Amino acid sequence: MTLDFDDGGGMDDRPRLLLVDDDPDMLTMLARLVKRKCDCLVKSSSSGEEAGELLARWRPEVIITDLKMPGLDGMTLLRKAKEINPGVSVIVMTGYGNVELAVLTLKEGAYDFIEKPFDQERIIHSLKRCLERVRLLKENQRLQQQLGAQAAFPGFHGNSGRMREVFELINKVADTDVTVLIRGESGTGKELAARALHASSGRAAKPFVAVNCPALPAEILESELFGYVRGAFTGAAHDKKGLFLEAQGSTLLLDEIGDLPLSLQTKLLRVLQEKEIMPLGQTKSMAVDVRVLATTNQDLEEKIRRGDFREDLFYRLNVVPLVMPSLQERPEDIPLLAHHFLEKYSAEYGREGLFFSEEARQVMLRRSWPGNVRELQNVIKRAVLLATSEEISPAELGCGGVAREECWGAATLGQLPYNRAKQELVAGFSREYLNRALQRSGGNVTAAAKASGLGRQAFQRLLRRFGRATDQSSNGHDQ
Amino acid sequence: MAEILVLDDVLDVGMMIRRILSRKGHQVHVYSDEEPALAHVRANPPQLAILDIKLKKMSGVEVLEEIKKINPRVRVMILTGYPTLETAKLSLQLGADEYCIKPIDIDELEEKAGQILAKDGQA
Repeated sequence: MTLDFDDGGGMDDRPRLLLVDDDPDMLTMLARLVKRKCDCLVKSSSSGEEAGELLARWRPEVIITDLKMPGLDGMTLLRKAKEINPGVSVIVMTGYGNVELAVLTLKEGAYDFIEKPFDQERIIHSLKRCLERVRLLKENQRLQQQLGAQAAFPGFHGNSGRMREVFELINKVADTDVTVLIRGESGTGKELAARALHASSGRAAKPFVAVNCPALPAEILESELFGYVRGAFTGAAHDKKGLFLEAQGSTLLLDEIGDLPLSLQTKLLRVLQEKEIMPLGQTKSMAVDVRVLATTNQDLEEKIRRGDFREDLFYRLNVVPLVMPSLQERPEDIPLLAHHFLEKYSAEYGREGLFFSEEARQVMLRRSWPGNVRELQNVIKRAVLLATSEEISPAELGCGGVAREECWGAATLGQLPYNRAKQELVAGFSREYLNRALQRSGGNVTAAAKASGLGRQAFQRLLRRFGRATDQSSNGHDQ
Repeated sequence: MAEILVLDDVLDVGMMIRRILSRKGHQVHVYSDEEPALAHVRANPPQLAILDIKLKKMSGVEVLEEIKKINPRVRVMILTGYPTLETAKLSLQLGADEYCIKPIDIDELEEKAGQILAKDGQA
């Protein structure tokens, strides 16, 4: 950091405001007004040339400049300032205001255009909004640096204690052949963790193989996993190499292992124990060198009690348990993740320069995220597509955000037509209510329905209508 | 070659703009009412919408806001006979690419429309 030559030097991180006007009375008046009303470092300059030099030396973040000045005029100063620092906010004042000029200045990137003589309130209002923008941009920059600094594993972002534990564990067990059971709610990044384990292992050079267990019926899943030889059954016209053989020397992920049928659980257990497979119709078994990873968002212990999941398989898989924290357990990562998705989708959809308003930040921190990082990701993707200005408001963060009581403060609902607003509010409330009821009952629908004074079927109907809208576990996502 | 929508409460003005921009090979759709124009944008987002500010029910600035909600990639040129600082500022903040003042001469209209379309790589 360079040392500034006065006004608190480099240690003062208040925003730097530069006032430029060739009329000394105007400068004095403005400086006095600004110092009284706003908390910022102020420098005044009575010529465009001098101001131009200050741009590089003092790096002002906000500039209030007159347009018509002898020598270097306001428009040239604006262009120069934008060139040196594209993030600078410039308020342009002029006594010769006309619309063409205003349009020209705003298109050059000025933040505001004010006609002289102006109302003091008017300029202070504009300046305060500028300072708020500067603060948000700085916050963005800070998050950007954090994102750049911690590329621990591709796709993963988070600085929270819980995520650090996850990173540490992944590092520790990645380059071993140990089986890892990755647990966590939907949308917490279980598959990403599996990919990270593979990518940091000695098997990384070979392609990672994943199979989604509930996506396929039992018989097909069996032949997918273990393969078959020609003639093993009607229609088996060729030898089929199963996924275990595909993953030879690599990693195989069994996604949603909780849904693996019992018959296949037995076969899988044998593979894990013997490290060999026997394709359907084959009499000789073949040795396989595959590292197995599994994910689940289900309560496997409960499934074991009910006899739906083999206990011995559970212990085989659960050699190292890796639990992905829910977003609720790591709220401090929300700003970082939100920023990451904002960057990602802004770039993807060519909508540069977007940022979250302060209210939007608050809403994201306070609302619940039953769909976890994936839900956050979807909400931000939608906001990027819908944003009508650079600043993303709570309304653009979608119905879940709007329905929260905090949003009434931001008056976003008030901007919608009555029926729409009511719908949004009811949907948000219902989702919140149902999910909280489910959380309290530990996911037991019957108990949650009873506690809510509803029949089980009515509860489920509501759940289908408002419930876990973002719970689509097959969506690709990163976090 | 681009799809352009023109919304002006005076149909003749729209027709005039169509004549000028069609010569450049653009497909120009002219409307004098807000609703059908917005319906058109919803069904077939054009590359550029040229909006008057003084309309029958809404203001052009409101239409601009609505269009950006429907599809933020639609570029917008405001063309008004009643320019004010406030509407100019608001239009640009809401994402308009140009704020032009009537009467506009033919060369300027062609040039401005061309510049806007060139941003998306279409002349």
